[in-house]
Formats: sequence, C-alpha cells, structure tokens
Amino acid sequence: MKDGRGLQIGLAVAIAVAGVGLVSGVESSGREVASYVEPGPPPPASAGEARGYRDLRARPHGPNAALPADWWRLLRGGGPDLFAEVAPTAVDRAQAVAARAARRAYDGAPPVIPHAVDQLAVPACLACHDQGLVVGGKVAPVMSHVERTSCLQCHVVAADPRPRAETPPPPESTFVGLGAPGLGERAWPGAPPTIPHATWMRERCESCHGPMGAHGLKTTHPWRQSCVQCHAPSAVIDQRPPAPLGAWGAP
Amino acid sequence: MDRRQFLKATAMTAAAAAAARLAQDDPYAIAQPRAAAGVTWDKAPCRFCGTGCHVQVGVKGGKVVAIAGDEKADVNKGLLCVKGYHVGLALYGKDRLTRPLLRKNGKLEPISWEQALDIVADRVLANPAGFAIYGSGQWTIPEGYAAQKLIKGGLANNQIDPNARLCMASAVTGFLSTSGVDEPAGCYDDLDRADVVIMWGNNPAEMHPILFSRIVDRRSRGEKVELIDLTTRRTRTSGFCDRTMIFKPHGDLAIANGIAHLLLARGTWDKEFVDRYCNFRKRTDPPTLDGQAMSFDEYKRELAAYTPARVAELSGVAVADLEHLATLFGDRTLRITSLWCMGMNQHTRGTAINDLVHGVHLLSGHFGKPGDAPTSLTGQPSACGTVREVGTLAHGLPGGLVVANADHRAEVEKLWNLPPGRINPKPGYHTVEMWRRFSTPKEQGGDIDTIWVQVTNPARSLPNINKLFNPSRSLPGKFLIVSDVYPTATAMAADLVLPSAMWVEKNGMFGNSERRTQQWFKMVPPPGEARDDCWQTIAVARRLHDRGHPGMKDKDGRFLFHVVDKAGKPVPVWEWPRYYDVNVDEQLFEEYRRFSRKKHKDLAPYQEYVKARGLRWPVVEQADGTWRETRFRFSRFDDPYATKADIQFYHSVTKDDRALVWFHPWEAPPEVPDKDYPLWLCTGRVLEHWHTGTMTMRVPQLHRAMPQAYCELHREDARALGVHDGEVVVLESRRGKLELPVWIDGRGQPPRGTVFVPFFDESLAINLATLDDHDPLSKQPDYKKCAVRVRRRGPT
Repeated sequence: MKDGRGLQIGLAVAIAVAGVGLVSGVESSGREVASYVEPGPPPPASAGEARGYRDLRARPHGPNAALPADWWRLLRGGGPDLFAEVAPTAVDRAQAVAARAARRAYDGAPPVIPHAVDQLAVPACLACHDQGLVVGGKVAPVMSHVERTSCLQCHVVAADPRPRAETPPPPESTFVGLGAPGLGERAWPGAPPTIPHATWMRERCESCHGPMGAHGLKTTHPWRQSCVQCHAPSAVIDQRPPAPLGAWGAP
Repeated sequence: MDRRQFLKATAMTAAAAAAARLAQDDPYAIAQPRAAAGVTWDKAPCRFCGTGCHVQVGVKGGKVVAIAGDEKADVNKGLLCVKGYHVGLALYGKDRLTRPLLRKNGKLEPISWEQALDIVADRVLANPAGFAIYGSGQWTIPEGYAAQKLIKGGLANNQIDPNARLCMASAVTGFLSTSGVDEPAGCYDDLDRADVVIMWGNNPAEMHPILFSRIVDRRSRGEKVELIDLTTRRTRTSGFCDRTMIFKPHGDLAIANGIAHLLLARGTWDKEFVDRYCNFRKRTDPPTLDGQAMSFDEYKRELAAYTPARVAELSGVAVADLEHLATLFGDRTLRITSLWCMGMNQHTRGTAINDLVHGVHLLSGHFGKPGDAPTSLTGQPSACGTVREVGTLAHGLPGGLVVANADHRAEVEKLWNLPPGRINPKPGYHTVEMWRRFSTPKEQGGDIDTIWVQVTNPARSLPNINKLFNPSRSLPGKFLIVSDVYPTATAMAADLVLPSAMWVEKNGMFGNSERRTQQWFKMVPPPGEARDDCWQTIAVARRLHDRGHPGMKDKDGRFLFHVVDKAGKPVPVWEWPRYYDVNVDEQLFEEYRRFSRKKHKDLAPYQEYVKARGLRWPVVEQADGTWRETRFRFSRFDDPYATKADIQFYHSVTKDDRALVWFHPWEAPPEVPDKDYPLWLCTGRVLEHWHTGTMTMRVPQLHRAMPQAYCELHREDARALGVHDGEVVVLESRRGKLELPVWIDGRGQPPRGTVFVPFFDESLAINLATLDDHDPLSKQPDYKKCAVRVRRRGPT
C-alpha cells in the first residue's frame, strides 16, 4: 500500500511537472513575476498555401495531416470490441490504479483535467465524455455520474491555464489522501466481487470498467450492462447504513 | 501525570467519545468492509463560502484523508465544488503555525502560550479603550459570541467589527430598511422553482457553484429556466445565460429604476400587492434606515425620469433588454428570483441598490411565493450566523439588538446577568474607521492602539491597504495580534501571532446564506500548540479577570464565561487541557440561543443541530416536541409568525406589517476614469480560490489550476497599450500600484475600458489600488470600481 502510494505520488509529480512544462513552456522561479519574453515575428505571409475545400482530402495539411483520411471514422466507428479477451495482470491493475490516483487528491476526489479547456465559455466536455472516446490510444472516459453541465465547477485543469504565463511552484502539502480501495470481496473463489468503493457520483461503472477503461480496471465481460445485478455495493461505504427498524415509529 | 501525558489523555478521551458517538448514532453498524477500514466519517459544513454545503469528512489516524459530498444535505444534495472536494487539504499546508510567536527585534520568535496570554492582557489593561477585536464571518457562532461578550459585556468599549463589514453590510442595511429585520425571506428552494433567475452583478458559476448547478441542472432534467446575467464583464456564468446585459459601473441603480418606471408606465405593477403590503420611502439627509415617507404619486414622479432611453444611456444596457426585464417582472405567471452578492454590496450606494432590487420585487408582487424572491448570497461560511445574528458589529448586540437602544441594552444586561449600565451605548468604530485609526498616530486621533485579528487577513483584504493597514506597521505604540493557522500577510506583519485550530480541528457552528444554522464536532487534533480561537478569547478574558478587570465578572461576581459540567460544577475551561472536558460550544450556544427569540429568529437547542444537516430559522418547537424549520419567511403558508395576512412583514419599520419600497436616484461613483487613469478596475474572486487564498493557495490541485493573480484586459485595450497576452504590466491607481501578468480572453472578458483583477493572490495585492470610499449607511467599501491605468513595464 505504502509503495503504491509512493508510486502514485511520484507519477502525480511527474505528470504535473510534464503538464506544467508542456502548457507554459517556461521554467518557474519563485513567486516573483519574471520578465516577459517577446514573441517572435509573425510567420511570413507566404507560409500558408491557399487551398480549396476540394483539395482538402487529396492533400491533407496542418497538424492532422498524418492521420488517415478517414480518421473521423475512429471517432464515430463501432467503438471497441466488446468480445475481445480481457486478461489484466496485477501489474496492469497497479498501473491503472496509479494512473487514476495521479489525477486525484484522494480516492473519490473529482479528477483534474489533463488537457487545456476553454476557461470562459460553457465547455463542450460532453462532446467526448458523454459517450466516451478512444483516439490514438488516448481515452476520453465516459463521465462516471449522471449528466451535469457545469463540469468545471468540480473538475479543474491540472496545469496553469494561462498561456505563456510563468507558473509559480505549487505549495508544499503534508496531506496524504485515502488510497485506492483495492479489490472487492468474493464470497468464494469465482463469486462476483462486491464493489469496494462508494457508488455515489460513480454510478456509471463503464467509466472505469467499461471497454474504454484502463486495461487493468476493465471488466472481462463488457457486453453485460447491468453491473449491480451481480456486484453488490456496500451500504456502509455508501454511507447509507440501514436505519433501525424502530426509526419508522408505530404504524 | 505531567502536562504532556495529560494532553495525550484528554485527546484520547475526545477520540474515544467521538467513536462512541458514531457507534451510538448507528446501532446497526456492521463491521466495515476492508476498503473503509479505519476511516470514520462525520458531517461538517464546508469551511469556505456562504453556500453552506455539507461534506462528509473521512478521518484515519487522526488526519483527514478524504471528503465526500453529503447526500443527506438539503443545500448540496451530495454534490460539491472543487474547493469543497479539496477542503480537507486546507489543513495540511506545510507551513501551519504551531507555536505562539512574538516579534523581538523585528523577528517573530516562539514564546509560550502563558507568555502570549500575558502580553494580550497587558495590552488590554494598558489602554482598555484603545483595544479592538477585528473578527470574521468565518468565526464559528460560539467564537463570535465569546468575542462579542468579551467586548460588549466585559470591556464595554464596543470596539469589535468583522471582515463581513467588507462583504455583506449593504445587504443587511437593505433588508433592515426594506423589511425592518435582517436576512432573506426566501431560501435555496426558490432556485428549484423559479422560472427566471436574475443575477445582479453576480457570477455564481464560480462563486456559488453549487447553487448555480442546482439551477442549470434543472435544464438537464428538461425543465425550463431563463437565466439573466446583469454584469460588468462576461464571466463563466454568462455562457449559461439566455441574456447577458453588460452595464457600466453604477448602472445597476439606473436599471432597477428603469424596470420600476416601465412597470408603472405599462400598468403591469402589482397594485393589489402594493396596496396591501407596501409603503413608499425616500431618503433623508443625512441618510437613515427609516428614511421619510413619500406618496405613491411622488414615487411615480421621481421614477418618471428613468425612461428606457435615459437608463440605456446611464447603464449602457440596450432598451430592448430593459424592456425585456420589465416584461418579465410584469408577468405574474412567472416566478422570479434575484441573486446578488458582492456586486451590489461592495458599492458606495450599496444600501440604495439593495433597496431598489427589493423594491422591484415588491412593486411587481414577485415576493413570498416559492421561486419569487430577492435573495442576497454571502461570501463567508458564517457571515449570517456569526456576524448578522450574533451581532458582532460595532453597533450590534446578539439577536438583532443594538447598543444605541436603551431597552435592548437592558435586555442584554438581564440575559448576561450584568449590572445595569454595563453596556456602553456608543457604537464602536466600523471596519474602515477602526483600521484608519489604527494606522493614524495617537496624537492625530489614532485612538485604537491594539487590534486582535481573528480568522481573517486584513493586510490583503482591506481596501486601500497603503492607507488603512500598512502605516500602522511602522507607527510606535501600535500593536497587532493575529490568531491564524498560516503565516498570512497579516500574521507576518503582526507583533504577536497566536496559532489557531481550524475547521474540524475544533467544534463549531456556522450559519449560511439561507438562515441555516449548522453544527459539527472536532474530528482531528490541531497541529502542535495550535488552539481554538474560542478558547483563546476565554483564556484572555480569564487573565483579565485574574488581574482584576471588573468587567470580567457578572453582577454576582461570576466569571463572564461560567462553564459547568453535567453536575453543575464549574469547569476551568480557560486551562487548555480542560477545554474539551465539556462542550463549550453547546453551553455558549444555549446561552446565545435565548437572544434569538427577540426578532423571531428562533434557534433550536444545540442537540437538534447535531442531528440535522442544518436548520433554517425561525426553528419553532411543535406540540409534539419536534422542531420545525421555516423556509419562506413572512409567508403565512410557511412562517408560523406570519398569522395576520398572506404576507406579513412582522418587523416592519412602519409598525404596520408592511415593507418599504424606496426611491433612490442614480448617482455617479466616487471615482470615475479620466485622462490620467482611464480604466475601470473591478476586483473579485475565482472558482478555485477563496478570499485571500491563505487556505486554497496551499492546496496543490487548486493552486495548479489557478496559480497566480492576473489582469484581465480587453483585446483592443491591450492592442492600444501595445501589451501582449501574458506580458507583465504595471497597474496603478492614485493609491498604489503593482505588477502583474495580463490574461486576454482568459477566465473573463471585460468590456473595453475595464480591467479585472482577482484578490486571491497574497503576493499580488490588488487592494493596494482599491479605494476606501464606502456606503454612508452600511460603511461597506466599494471594491468593484475605481480608476486605474495600465502601462508596459518598460526596460528594467
């Protein structure tokens, strides 16, 4: 558990540093506002060749030029294979848990957003996260809870959102968050495991365990839809302990 | 048993008691599954804003390890915002204060608690009249009550005022001048029913996210709700709104008058409602909360000047938008809720704009039905509970009473068992005046020489800090005492620093924006020698008592904070190891609760709040012994004190159960942009950070998402200045300047001629630039508008 936590923290730091470096492109140096680097001259006017819509498919250009011509089918296609064999190892699971923990302050915290978002407009998060999406190995998970639209009230970006700004170093904290819950319990070998975590705000199991989930967390039988028919949640973990029978009073 | 062992034993007893309490609550508790083993969960209201969400706090090994939204809470129904989910991390910044510190030769050095208490007592005894407490809307109710009793009932100099003066004083004067008694009539249930929600200078998508999602999530369920954003800049809220109306600073006064004008001109005002429940008022010179009666015809004549064309000119809002607002208010089939917070309150005409918005609702009859309500929101978790209800203001007494009223004083002296005449009839200084006098030499009238700050950061949150705060730090004879949890800018400038326990490191009670009183228990020990603020106040009072200050005893010679155990035996709670022998919060609350009946703000016994996720006052005992909360105040269908009519303003200024509809003219702000300082400056908060960021800037997730303050600038203004996005510029007003980076089209979009800077960043103090002009009645300063200029930094 302790080692796992160390790995999680290490990964969190690594991802945060990488994220910060990627977005800001500058090194941080204390709380002082550093000097500003003038942007270079604008690109020469001849850089862009005017193309008609007719040419677009035949001569792709821009950042997506390397993608196959029917790249959009990857988004709209039939989705992942529900019947492919899933056989995760303990290492797969540890990696998946660590990757998950790296984006959360504690198990149950809303994950931070690992990409830039529009800071002002109503974000179009649901475009990808409503049904989920896999492109080029990157997963946009299905959101784990019922539809809510003020997404950025809980989910914030993992790195400085200000383009070209210098980012002060993050604060030092002694907080140690609750770790991943580990495996569910089985009544006997082969029995369906119980759900080891709270289900509040995590009602959509496919978010982590569906066919687009991380390899180590995926269910072996994604074609089955009604998860809680076999996997029991815990009233105690869900903070719904049974009320005493006397609580209803006399009829 | 030595001191350390004793402390340990007490801590263990507290922990065992907590565990026993949990087990008792949950007789059917089964062995916890492995995942939750060792984690205990208990309820607490969130530490941050005034929304008052409940969280479940997961504790393991004496530390907070997780937070969950509390599904049983009416306010948030299991959801939180990003600050709420990370509230537990606010306890664990690496630089928590753990020992009392005294400034010696310019450096803060550790001392003992005994020495620290002696120093505070020395300062009080040297000049009792010059000693002030500057408190907070983040004080728990018992903390504020203890400080209130020490100052008003003990020292009797009335020098106590809270930071809430800076955040909601104008809402208070607005409610007092309209309905004769403070705090909103409606509640959050209005948000579930309203057809239209109008946000007056309010950005709840960032500042009250739970209330905002409570509204917009209705749309996900297929309901229709029209959102109108009246604002001085585009914000995250704007994107969700059906209409965004960007107005010029102070344009809100004109807009409210313009709506009233159109209601009258079109004949769509609610004649029946006004005839039955309203009187008309105009202001006097000097202004008072009672004003002066005016006839309806006179009211109509005054409004005649506010034609759509003129209002459009004064406010910058299009005539069609004004007409739309008037059409909405003129439609009695709609339910309309207005929300506001700092935009209307931090306003040199704050009382006026509060009155006018109440007036529009009353004039159109959009009042007193679920969904029809003018509702002010608060920014601090207990601005209502501790400041407005306990009355921790320079003029206030608990329960809505005031020092200037002889009957009120006699009432309080009776309840506190004080000798008659103990309470001083002269109000103390309001916040701006207190700090101005603290920053003025004694010989020039600076008669406040010691301020004890609790739970707030005035070195960053006061306006115009170059005038109100900074001079005091180099004046001889001025002594600043700060109780806090982190080395804030104020703590670092203090002469004496007292380390405090925070949030679930102590018992506490808060009161949120919708009259809801909430309670929580201590769940983890505070770090090092950090101790409860309430204990600090009682311990200082005891020092004064022991050194012979006559005010520390009641008329029977008992200590002001006489706390007893179950057998009725006095407990010396001023000795820290004994503080948790009894529940001091419960005893202080039960004492305070008696005051709540005076203005029909009835509070239930402490134990009722232990069971509930907060209860909205008046909480009235029923025949069967249960306690019933009130959601819609003044409405007969819900408020047990409204008995005579469907709507009864039973604390009416005019003593006839009617509310007052005021006329206030549009007036120019005290400082407007000119040739030298051509831009408007607006300040405010962001989603991730709370107030001056002393807690949230220590949470890695929140810090990374918003690591530094910035200056929002319109793209055209930036172009005209030759400034790039991200460039560090100099922003200066007539009062101060600072350097900070520009962010164009970032979190907000100000119109041309306006800049916005958030105030969460202690290292980039925007309150160097703001002005200390304030509303004549509420004394609340205006942080939302002053004139600044922005220039490039130039070669360095």
